[in-house]
Amino acid sequence: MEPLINIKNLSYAIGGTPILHDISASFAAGQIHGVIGPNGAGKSTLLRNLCRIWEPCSGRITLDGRDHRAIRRRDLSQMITLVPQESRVDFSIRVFDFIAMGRHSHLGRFSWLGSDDLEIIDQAMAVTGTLPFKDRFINQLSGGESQLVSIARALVTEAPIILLDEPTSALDIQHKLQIMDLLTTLRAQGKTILMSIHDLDLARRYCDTLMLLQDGQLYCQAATEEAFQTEHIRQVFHVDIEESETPHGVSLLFYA
Amino acid sequence: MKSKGRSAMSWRPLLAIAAIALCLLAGMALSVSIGSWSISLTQIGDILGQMISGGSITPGDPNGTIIWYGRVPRTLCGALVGFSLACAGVVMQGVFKNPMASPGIIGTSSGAALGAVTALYLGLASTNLYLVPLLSVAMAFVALMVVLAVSTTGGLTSRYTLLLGGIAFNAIFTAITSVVIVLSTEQYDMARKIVSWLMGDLTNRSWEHVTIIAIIALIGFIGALLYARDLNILMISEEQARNFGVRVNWSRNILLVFSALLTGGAVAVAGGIGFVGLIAPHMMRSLVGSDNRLLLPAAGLLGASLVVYADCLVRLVGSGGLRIGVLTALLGGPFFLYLIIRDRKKYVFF
Repeated sequence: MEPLINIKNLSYAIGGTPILHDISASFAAGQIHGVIGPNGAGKSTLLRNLCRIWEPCSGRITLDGRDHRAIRRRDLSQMITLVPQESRVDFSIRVFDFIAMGRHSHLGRFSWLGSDDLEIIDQAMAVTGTLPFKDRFINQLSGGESQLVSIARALVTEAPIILLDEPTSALDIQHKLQIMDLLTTLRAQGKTILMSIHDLDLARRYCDTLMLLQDGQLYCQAATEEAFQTEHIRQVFHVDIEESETPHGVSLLFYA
Repeated sequence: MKSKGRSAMSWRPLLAIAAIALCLLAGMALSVSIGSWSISLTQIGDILGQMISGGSITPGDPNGTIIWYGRVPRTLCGALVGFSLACAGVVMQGVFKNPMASPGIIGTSSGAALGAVTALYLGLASTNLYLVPLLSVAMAFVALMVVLAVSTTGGLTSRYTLLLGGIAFNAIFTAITSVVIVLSTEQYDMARKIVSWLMGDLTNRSWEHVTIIAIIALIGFIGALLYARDLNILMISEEQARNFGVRVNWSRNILLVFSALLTGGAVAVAGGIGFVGLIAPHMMRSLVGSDNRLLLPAAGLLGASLVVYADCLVRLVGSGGLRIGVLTALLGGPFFLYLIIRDRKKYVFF
């Protein structure tokens, strides 16, 4: 079966400095794919190239068999959407209105939200548990709430592919697990999730496949168990890793 | 069963817009009724009714001439200028993601002022009434194009470079304007006219001025309204706007063009009137929210009210020295300081 996302020889540079170099990879539909690597490895850049927020310098990306450069921006935003790391806003915008912005590409210049749009927004807020604060202002939310709202906004785009840039960074453990459980629910609903993530423990626990990036190059991409090997982690992160199992069967990772 | 997430239609923004519209109408009525020549409200009503129903002013009727050819165009000019400045302010605050941005932030108003001052200095105003606004709007566009050219590289325009370029060009245009003022001091009347105009003035505005600013305000307002949904996302982040299908560069630049048009038109007709474009969007945002489709008309109406009432105050208490631009700066400056003090925690960088 043709993978949903196919990357071939992707390179990206900023002002002559290469950030991504000759990346080739593919991602199957309906799975959670993790992108891991040290700071500056090119994880966020890869995500921004995939949804064409930044245009790739060379190489080819296909989404569901279509070259993503040939897809109109409005159509593209209905196929793939990015949840950024943080959404700092200087204006007081209601959570409901913020989430509703995800419908932008579905609406005409003078259209207002119709009953179908409202239904979709309702569902997204229900799934993400953001209903209780729909009337609060976006700049008054905590980090965890803000992340849930951003995911809800991504859901209302109805894009089958959701990219998340460090969705759990700066969150406490409870909110980290809440976000990861939500992503698992979305996977069960048929969404394809691709996220950059620093927390190796969560990556190993929740991702179906892992992509390891190092200095803008692909180190390896494989099923999580295969990719998450001590030697790979040592090579990419320059740390030793040790695994231990608690009496309750929970596996713990130790770094040195 | 419908979930509870549905946001009920809020009447608050519409009520706020209706209240401001009423306030503007009251201000316009006041503006038409005040002046050194005392005319009763009944007479004013008769004259307006007569003219609106297609009649004409009886030759030699001083009341009719004063109202229809003096106070009404002055009032309409004030309202349309305030409306234009406020709409330009909404656009600038959205594009620059900063609730403290104002219409002149990228050099368009100082460019427009230079154009108008040059036209006045060259005596073009007496040749053709339309030359001053034409040169003023043209210079606003020149300023915009130059700033855009400076801040665009590889087809991408940086918001920060736009801002910095605006600061530089504001300084350059203001310096050249000062040179023109110095040159004009050899002719006392000319210098007085230019300085008075720079301080914001609505004296002797005619129906031709109304036509000019009405056309500009209409084009600028409708244009900005067309792109208001794009602006809603642009004011969060350009990256997110691109993510949600907005053609960021096109939308932002076209919004800047409409803003330059509105600013240039306002400066051309009334000279330098500051702070309206800053205060009106800011005040209305707390009443109608941040949806620019509602904010544009709401802030526009408040801006119109501010200029109309400021003009009334100038005429009521002014002793010849007070000008609208001076008054709006005297009231707007402290308000701006209040905003800075209130929000300073937001802008602290550790």
